[in-house]
Amino acid sequence: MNRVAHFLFVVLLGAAFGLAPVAARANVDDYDAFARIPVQDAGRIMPMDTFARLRLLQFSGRSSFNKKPAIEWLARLLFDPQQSQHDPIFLVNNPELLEAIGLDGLSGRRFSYDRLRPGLDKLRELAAAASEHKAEDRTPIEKEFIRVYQNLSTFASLAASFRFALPHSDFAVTNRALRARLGLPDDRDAFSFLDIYLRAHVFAPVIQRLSAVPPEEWTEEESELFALSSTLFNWNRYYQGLPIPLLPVTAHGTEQWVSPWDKLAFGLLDEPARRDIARLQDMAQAWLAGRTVDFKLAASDVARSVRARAQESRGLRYLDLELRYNRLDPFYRAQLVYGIAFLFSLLALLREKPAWRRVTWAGILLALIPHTLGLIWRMQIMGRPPMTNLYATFLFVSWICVVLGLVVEWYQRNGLGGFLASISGLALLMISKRFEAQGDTMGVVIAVLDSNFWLSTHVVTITIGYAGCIAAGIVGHVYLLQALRLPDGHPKLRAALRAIYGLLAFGLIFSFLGTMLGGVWADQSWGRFWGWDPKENGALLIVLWCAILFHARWAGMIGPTGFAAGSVLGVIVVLFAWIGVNLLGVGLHSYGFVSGLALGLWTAVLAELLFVAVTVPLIAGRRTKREVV
Amino acid sequence: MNGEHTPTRGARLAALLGSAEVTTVGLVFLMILTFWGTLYQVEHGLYLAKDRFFDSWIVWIGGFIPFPGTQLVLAALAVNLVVYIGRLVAQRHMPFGLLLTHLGLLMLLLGGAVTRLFATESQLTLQEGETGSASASYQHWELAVWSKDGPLREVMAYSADDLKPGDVRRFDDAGLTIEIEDYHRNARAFQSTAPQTNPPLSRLGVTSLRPARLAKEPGENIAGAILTIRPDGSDPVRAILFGEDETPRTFRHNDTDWHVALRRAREPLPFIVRLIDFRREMHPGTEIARHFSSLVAVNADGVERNLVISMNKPLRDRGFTLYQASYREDPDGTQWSTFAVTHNFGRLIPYISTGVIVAGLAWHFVAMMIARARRAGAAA
Repeated sequence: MNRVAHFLFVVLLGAAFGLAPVAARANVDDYDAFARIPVQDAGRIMPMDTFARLRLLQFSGRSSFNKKPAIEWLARLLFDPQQSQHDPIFLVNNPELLEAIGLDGLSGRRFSYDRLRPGLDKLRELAAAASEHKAEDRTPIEKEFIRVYQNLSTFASLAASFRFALPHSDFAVTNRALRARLGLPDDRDAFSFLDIYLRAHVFAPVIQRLSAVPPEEWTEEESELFALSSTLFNWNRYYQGLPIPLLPVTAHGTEQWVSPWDKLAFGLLDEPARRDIARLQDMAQAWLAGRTVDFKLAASDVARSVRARAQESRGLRYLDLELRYNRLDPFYRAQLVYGIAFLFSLLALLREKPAWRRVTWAGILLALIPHTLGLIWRMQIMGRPPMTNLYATFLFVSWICVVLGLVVEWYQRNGLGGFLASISGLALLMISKRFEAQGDTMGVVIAVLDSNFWLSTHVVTITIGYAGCIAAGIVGHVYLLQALRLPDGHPKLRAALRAIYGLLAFGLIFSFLGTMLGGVWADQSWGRFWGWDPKENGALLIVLWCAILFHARWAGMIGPTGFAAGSVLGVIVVLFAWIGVNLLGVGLHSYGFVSGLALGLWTAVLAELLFVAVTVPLIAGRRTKREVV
Repeated sequence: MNGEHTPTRGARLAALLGSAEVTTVGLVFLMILTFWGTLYQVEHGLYLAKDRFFDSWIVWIGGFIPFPGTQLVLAALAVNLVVYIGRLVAQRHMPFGLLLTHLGLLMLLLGGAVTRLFATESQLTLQEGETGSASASYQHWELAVWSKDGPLREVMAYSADDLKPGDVRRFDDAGLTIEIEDYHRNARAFQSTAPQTNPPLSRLGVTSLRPARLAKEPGENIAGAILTIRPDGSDPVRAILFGEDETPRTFRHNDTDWHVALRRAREPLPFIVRLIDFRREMHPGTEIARHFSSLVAVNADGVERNLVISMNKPLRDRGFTLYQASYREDPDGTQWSTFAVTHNFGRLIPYISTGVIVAGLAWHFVAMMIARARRAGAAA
């Protein structure tokens, strides 16, 4: 038995670690240099890889496309925009949108730009009308109009962002003499905007002279040159304000990152910038021609040159780390291993064989490695404690619950802690995935949060408090389920009750401390300790609920079943404080809104209420029956 | 404590008052109020929710069903705590952790009461280069009378928060009485096309006031009053004072120019503040503020010093605290900086009580764990 368990465990672990990164590893080497190019987005410097993921997540809600990493999709979008128009990447959550823009014949949830294009004008009109309303007054469908329209226009500007580097018929030079004069290669006649732009100094004097000569007297070469120069002028005026800001410009001591188009529009190209842009063109054309080695070389040239010239910044320093973080996807791996450990923990709870318990324990420790590493990396990359948004708090609460589960297991050695650790690792990390698509999870924070001291005291403490109460709630479920079949006072029930008691006390202390530290922070920043702000109230509700449970238990108003049921209901209170308050959309703390979240929250609340409403009467019923018999 | 003699009525009452049952019921009420008041904020905003649920003794449901307000519940919990602590102290083996925790809680409640009764909150908005020596309340209004406009002037003022039609306010030093004809905490002003009375009722040409619903943010309420000023021994003057009108109503009495104004209640500061420069920093490539700060010169007792007030770095001086609260910027580049001003001598109480409570809780739960481990050891 023992041996079978260990064997199974090793096989499953191998599968988890081996299979997870396969999708991400494909062609990693070809795109490695490109992925490393620094980009400024969402107020920070990030690797192109993160930029690609963010855009793909924003459009499609997924971080890979056709089982290929986002960076490959981005390369195709930038360098071969015609082809990417057929990629079905635009997630439409509400079919009503398709109807509204006259495309009700379409089925599915994700569509290509090409498919949506016929409705684009109508969508622009609808989105513009919806934008007239204040954000909080918009209906779900109006939000969807705006969201999809913004995605489509972002896509369109990304598609144009490397057009300067791609050969275009507008810049065809058919006259051989002209090609020779401009120093253009003779083996083709279609050139890019940049090819012509970089030679503007050669023909500028000619154009000047032509202005004094009537067009009838121009030579064929001169006519073509003039046409070329007006196209150049028009393009230069038209293609402005486009992404991607990847060239650092320092003026008057402050650094700004601009896109190649904007750099070209400024007109003043110093030698390094000229070289960078030329290398960007080499990169694009090498990709188009399938010359992998050239593509890699050009990309790493650009990355190196930009990094050498940009001012020192955190994003730049940890660029490689962020890339590794993206590639390894530590939380996804941890989640898989927690999942396996969870199956074993069920066996351990039901079968009471020490082997299953040991396997569970080992599995949790294994999963904790990438989980911890992921948190540490995030802290390093952001230079902040790991909880600046809802996504990050889930990662952290999950981690604390796992550790609390391990502590319970260490003391009780009965499988309960293993169950707690593995299910909270699995479930909370799974839920966290839902929040990833809301934007840059390592993004900047608003001014009031810009204080590492308070983030790491108040926010960390209160989040640990959430974790304690959630962990108590999970054990509460186990207690109620066990109480359905075990007699009162059974050792298993007593152990579970002790665990609930300890976890709830832990939750109470940290929620209370966190709430009060929040008051201290508020007093320091706004001059008032307590202002009945919704998030403050949410935290207070947790403290009150824990205190009610303890006092009611001491007063004998509730028994063990009531206490356990109370800990289960405590999960609802935590969910309200943690997520519900952000959905209220008022107060200083409502920075983490995610649409569609409300439904999930209500489902969870109803599920918990139902659970208590079903189990508690059944347990009470069993007891009275026993007493009658 | 063992049924040999029946406890006195007082002891029974103390047992009830200090019981965990009362605590539980009180906490349940507090939880209901907190939850309800939070949801109420969605529709009505923070200040109205505070008014109705958190600062009140009784919450009227539907206007006639009474429900205990937060102040009442907190007061009951405070009594509960006092009795409980008294009983704990009377015990021979008193659980030290619990005692500490509940002492801390009592202190926290008392600190809240001190803040509620004595602390003031107001704000000071300065344009770059401007100097200020008094801050203005967000929510409170006052009826103020003064004679000499200058750097040092003596202002007589009555709170205008609960003025009612028919109220009379006497300003002895000015030798005048003001009778309130009509008063609205939030008013809309109207001008009529009919010819103005002489002297006009209002400098802005307002001829009538109508009440408006109280705004979510008290800062958006604009008070308005119709009143008669009766200087001793001269003719009465009828006037409309509208809060948006920043220049006072002026008239001559006893060879002096007197000014009357309805304005946001002023709190004089013990120092003079001049805004030298307001700065803000954005996250690169975004419109999200990273940081904002104000360089100010503070003049106290004739000595001036420069300092920077920024987010999380307030100015504290003579019991007053100035925090960077917000800013405003005109398209032409003119900048205003707004400071929240608080005056609260009880501000350290919650800090101390938090420490006491957390220490008490930790003591209690650790002591219980040790006791349990001992019992387990003894049983083994």
